[in-house]
Amino acid sequence: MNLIERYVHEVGTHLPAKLRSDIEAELQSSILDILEEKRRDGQTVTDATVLQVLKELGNPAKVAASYRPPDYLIGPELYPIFIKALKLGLFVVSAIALVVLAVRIAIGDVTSWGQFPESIGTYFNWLIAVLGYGVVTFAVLQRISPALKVVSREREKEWDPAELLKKPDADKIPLSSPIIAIIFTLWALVVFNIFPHVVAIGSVKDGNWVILASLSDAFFRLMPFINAMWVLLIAFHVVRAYHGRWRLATRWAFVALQLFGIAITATLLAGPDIIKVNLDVLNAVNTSNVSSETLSNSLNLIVRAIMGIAIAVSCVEVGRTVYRVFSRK
Amino acid sequence: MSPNESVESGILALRRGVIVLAVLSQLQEEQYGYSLLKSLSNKGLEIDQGTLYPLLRRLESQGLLQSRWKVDSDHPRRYYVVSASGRKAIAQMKEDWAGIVALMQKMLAGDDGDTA
Repeated sequence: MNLIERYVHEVGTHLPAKLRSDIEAELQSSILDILEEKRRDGQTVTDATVLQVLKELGNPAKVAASYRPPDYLIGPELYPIFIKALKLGLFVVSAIALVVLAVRIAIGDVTSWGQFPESIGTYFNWLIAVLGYGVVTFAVLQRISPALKVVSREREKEWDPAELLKKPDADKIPLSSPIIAIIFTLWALVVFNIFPHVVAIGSVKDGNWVILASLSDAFFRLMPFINAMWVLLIAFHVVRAYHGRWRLATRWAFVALQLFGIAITATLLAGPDIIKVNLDVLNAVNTSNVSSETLSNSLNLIVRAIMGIAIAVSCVEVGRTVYRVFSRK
Repeated sequence: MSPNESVESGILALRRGVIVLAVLSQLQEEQYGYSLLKSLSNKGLEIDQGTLYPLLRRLESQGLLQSRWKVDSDHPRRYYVVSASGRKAIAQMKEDWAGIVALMQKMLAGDDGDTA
C-alpha cells in the first residue's frame, strides 16, 4: 500500500461503510490530479511531494468529517422533550428515594447521620441510571425517523399569531406529553416484565444486599392485564402524538383505558396484599420499637391508600372527560 | 470574538452563501472536481478541496447535479454536470442573486430612501 492509498484508507476508516468506497475513490482521484498538475508544471514528484500534498489536504479525520452530515446523539428536535422527560424522571426517582429513606428510618435501618452518605450514594446511582436510560432511549428515538417526522411536522405547521388572542385550545396536545408517556410506559413494561426483582425495597445486612419488601404474587397474577393496559396505552399515546389534538374517539379511548385501569386497581385493592414483606429479614434489620408485623401492615395500608387515591383520581378524570364530550355536543 | 474575527467570520459567511451558485454555474459543462477547483480559482474564487468535494456530493444527492466515472487519463475521474432541475435552480438563483446585488448596492450606497 503506497502513501496515497494509506491516506485514503485512513480517511475511509472515519466514514460510514455505505459511503466509504465511493468517497475513497474520488479522494484518490483528486490527489492523483494534484500530482499530475505538479508534473505538468515541471516538478519532480517524490515521496516528499506526496507528503506535502497530503499535509495540505489535512488530518484524515477532519477530511472525513467534512463528508459526514451532522449527526446527533439527541438532535435539536428531540432535545427539549428529552430535558422535560429527564426532569420528570429525576423527580420520580427523588420521590421514590425519599419514600425508601422514610421506610428505612421507620424500621430503624437508618438511625444515625453517619449512614446518610450510603443513602446519598445509592440516590446518585439512581440518578445516573435515569440519566443513562434517558440518553439511550432518546438516542434510539433519534434513529427512528417516524419519531423525528412527527416532531418536525409539529414545528412546520402553519402558525397564526392571531391564535394568541384566542382562549387556550383545550384540545391541543403538546407533543412532549405523549412522547414522555410512551417512554415511561415502555420502561414500566421492561422493568416489570424483565427485571421485576428491581421493584423492591432492600437494605445492606452484614455486607450483603437483602430484600425487605417486594411485589407479591397477588400483583404478578394480574400482570397479563397490566401489560395489556400498558400496550393499549402506548398505542393510545402514539395516536395522540400523530393527531396532535384530542378527538372524540381519543377521548372515549381515554375513558375506556381509565376504566380498565380502575378495574385492575380495584381488583388489586380488593385482593390480598401486593407488597410481600420478608419478615425474617425485617426482624433481623428492625431495631425500632414497632414490631415488624405492624410495619408490614402499615406499608400495605399505605399502598392501599395510594391505590384508593389513584382510583379516585381516575374517576374524576373519567367524569371530566365524559362531561367535556357531552358539553360539546 | 475579537472585531477582526467577527469581520473574518462575516466574510466567510458571505463567501459560503455564493459557493453553491458559483459551483452550479461552472458545471453547465461536465467537469471533474479538481478541474472545477482550478477553474473557480482562475476566476478568483478560492475554495478549499475539503469544502468543494462534499458540496458536490450534497448537490448531487439533492438532484441538482449528476455524475459519472470516466477514464480519460491514467486514472479514473468523477465528472459532474448540472441536471435538468439544477438548470432550473440556477435560473431561479441567478434572479435572486441579481435582486440581492441590486438591493445591497442601494443599501451600501446609503441610497435606500431611509435617510432624510
